[in-house]
Formats: sequence, C-alpha cells, structure tokens
Amino acid sequence: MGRSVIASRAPRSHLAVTLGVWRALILREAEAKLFASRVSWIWVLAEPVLHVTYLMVMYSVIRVRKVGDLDTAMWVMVGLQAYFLFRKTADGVSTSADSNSALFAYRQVKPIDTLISRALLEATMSLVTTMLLAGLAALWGHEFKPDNPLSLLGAMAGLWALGLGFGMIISAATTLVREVRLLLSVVLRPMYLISGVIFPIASLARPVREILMLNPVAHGVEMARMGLSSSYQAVPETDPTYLFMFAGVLVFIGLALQLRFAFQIAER
Amino acid sequence: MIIARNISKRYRTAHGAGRWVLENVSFTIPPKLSVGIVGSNGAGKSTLLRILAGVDKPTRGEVDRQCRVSWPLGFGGGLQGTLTGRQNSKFVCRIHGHEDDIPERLARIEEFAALGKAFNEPIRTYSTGMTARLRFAISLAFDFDVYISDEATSAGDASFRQRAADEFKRRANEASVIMVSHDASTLRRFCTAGLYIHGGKAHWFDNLDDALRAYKDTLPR
Repeated sequence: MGRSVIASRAPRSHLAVTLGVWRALILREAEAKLFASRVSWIWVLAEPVLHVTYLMVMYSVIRVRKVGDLDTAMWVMVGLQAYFLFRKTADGVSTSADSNSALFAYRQVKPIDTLISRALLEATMSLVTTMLLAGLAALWGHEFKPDNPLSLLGAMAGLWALGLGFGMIISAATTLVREVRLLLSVVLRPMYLISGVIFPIASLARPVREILMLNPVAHGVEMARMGLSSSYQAVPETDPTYLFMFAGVLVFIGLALQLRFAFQIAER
Repeated sequence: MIIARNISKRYRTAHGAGRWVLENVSFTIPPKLSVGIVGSNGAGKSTLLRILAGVDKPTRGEVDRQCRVSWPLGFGGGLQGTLTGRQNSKFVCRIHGHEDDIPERLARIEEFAALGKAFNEPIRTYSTGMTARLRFAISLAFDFDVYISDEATSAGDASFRQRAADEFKRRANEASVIMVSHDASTLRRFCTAGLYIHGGKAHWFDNLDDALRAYKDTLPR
C-alpha cells in the first residue's frame, strides 16, 4: 500500500454517527433485498402489488361496486395498503435485531438502529407499492384521487408508528421470553379480519362494532379511507386521537424497553 | 490509552446468571503498546476483547477508551453473504462516517485484499481464507489507534499473513494491537507486553515472554 494513510478527522457527534448508521443500514438492507438474486427486485415489488390487485379484482368485480359510498377497488386497495404498512412494519421491526445480530460486532450499530432503519425501509416500500397500485388502478379506470391527502398520510403515519412501537416491544419481549414470537403470530393473523380490511365494520351491529374498534389498527384503516373521499361513510366510532395516543404510548414503551434491554438484545 | 477499571463479567444462561468469567480486572494499556492476551480456552480472553472493543458491556466496572479502537477482527459476523465484497466494504465505510471518501477507501480495501474479480462477487461464494482477507483489508482501511484481533492474523495464506504483518509493522508508530492467539510466534511478532488470564483474574506482564512462561507453568505436564 504505497498510498499515504488518509487523514482522520475530528470525532463525530452522536447524532452524526446515528444518522450515518441508519443510512448505511437502509442502503445495505435495500441492496440485500433487491439484489438477492437476479429477479428478486421484481418479486419484492410484485408480491404485494399482486396480492392487493387480486383482492381488488375479487371484490369489485364479483361483489359490490361501492362500499360506504366509495369505489370498492379503492376501498380494498387503501385498506390493504394501510393494514400492510402496520403489519409489515411490526413484523420487520420485531425480527430486525435477530437478523442483523452479526452487525453488533461494530460498536456504532445498536439494536435500536436496525429496528428504526427497518421501519423506515418498510415505509418506503409501502410508498412505492402504493404508487404502483395507484398507477395500475388508473389504467383500469379507477381513479386514485384522495380528497384529503394529508389525512390519508396522517393515517399512514399513525399506523406506521403503531407498527414500530408494537415491533419494538415484541423485539424486547422475545429477548426475555422466546415464546412471545408464537403469541405474535396468534395475535397478528386474525388482525387481518378484525381490522375491517376486507369487510366493512360499519355494516356490523353497534355492540360488536364497539368491541372491534378497541383495535387501533381498525381506526387507522378507516381514517385512511376517510382521507380518500370526504363523502365516505366511515365507522362512526373512528377517532384519530385514539390511534395516535395508542401509537404514542406503544412507541414510548418500545423505546424504553429497547433502551433498558439494549445489551441483552444485542447479546443473544 | 485504554483503561479498564474493576471489570467483572458474567453471562446470562438458561439457568439464571452464569459463573463470573472475569472478576475485578483492572489494567491500563498505554498508547502504542501492543499486548498479547494468553490463557486457556474459556478463560475469558475473547470476552475481554469484546469488552475492550465496546461490543459487550461489563456486568460491573467500566472501560475508558481514549483513542479510536477497531471492532474485534476475526469475529464471524459483520458481513452479509448475499452482498458482494464491495457492497459490504461500503457498508462498513458508511457506519464509520466516511461517506465522502468511499471510492478511495474501497480502492485501498480492494488492493490490500487482492481478491481480484471476486471482490464484486457475493461473499457467500468466498472461501474461509478469502473472507478473512476481506475482513482484514476492511479493518486496515481505517486508521484506528488500536486494533483488536481475535486470531485474525492467522487467517489467509502465507503471503497474505506476511503482508498483514508488514502493514502492521509499517504502522507501528501510529497504531498498536491487542490480540488473542494460541500461537506464541504470532504473539511475539506483534506484541511486547502480555496479559495472562486465569481464573477470572488478569495478570499484567511488561514482557510478553513472562506472560507466556506464566501460562505454560500452569499447564499440566
């Protein structure tokens, strides 16, 4: 090595280190996901798009044309994308520390960094697939034109935070009690059905509705649809405050647990 | 300079807290002094290295690192099998905050690892020796004051080992190494002082040979 040693600089601030690590982790994971094999980049995008398209076709062609005064295809698409944002973020965040444990050999990388960058990556993927779906739907004659884009984004942000908080808690809990992961799949599987993703909660009787609306994800899903059309007849119990409070509390507990058990999480 | 104050460490096991691997270990490693750590298997050498590198936290006590310390070289982790050598190198550059001079550093890594075309192939296609070379080359792309090495220098073929040793010699004025090895000649090549770990205690020797002798004396004849 004939070249002279590249001059080193002053120590970086904690924030600079953390942001650098997030950037590195996100780019690394995106690369690993997209280039695992020659066509994996197609599959990463095609899988969620196909899943949603399939259900959109099923519901709008075979069943009804309108749900709560909203185009069924759009109703299904926004509901699914909102739900998947929660589901994939929660799933990804809760397993992130395990799948990246090799990286804790670098002092700069803390478990929480891998969790947060995974959550940011999931959010990006959701954005890309939503745009692809909107484009496909437009070709097919279903216009994706949110009446209130900000409230749609707000609902998505709430669900994302909910997934992040939930994932952080599960990640810390699995370190202490391994069996929690089994519990997670038991909880998450029926969520698909009870969150009003593929059937309208608004059509149910009030007592049932009140129980189902204890689930914050259902609020987020309905809110997203409300953002799509101001004439949409949402579940009357829908309350943005409930979603954001729930998400805030989960994120807080999740961060506290991650801080408390940082070394146990890195050690396993 | 690295100062270890009253370090104790025990791991959690399936049946509660385990035995004390290290107990009340204190020492100071002055700048530019290379130290070889000796002791039998399971004595706590790797644990101590991990704690010095800041990857693991002592149960009690603290480590004061007043210099730039590398990650523990020679550990299995840190590289992603589906990504290429180049992509992995880039990741390590990024977490060390060298976003702006990635191309120069990549050139250094590529040159030193001397993997040829394999540098752009996924790491899972590498042999053990090739992975070790890449890992070593990545660590040399950064100017650490102290390199922490867990049997890392024994990797690779003879010519690579020679180049690694030469590179360390060249940097002897700026950098030192703290290493674990079971090979006395490797230790003699790099280190002057010795740390002998036995029964959870660490014994400091200004001369490596004394540490090696102390270690040999406890071995059953």
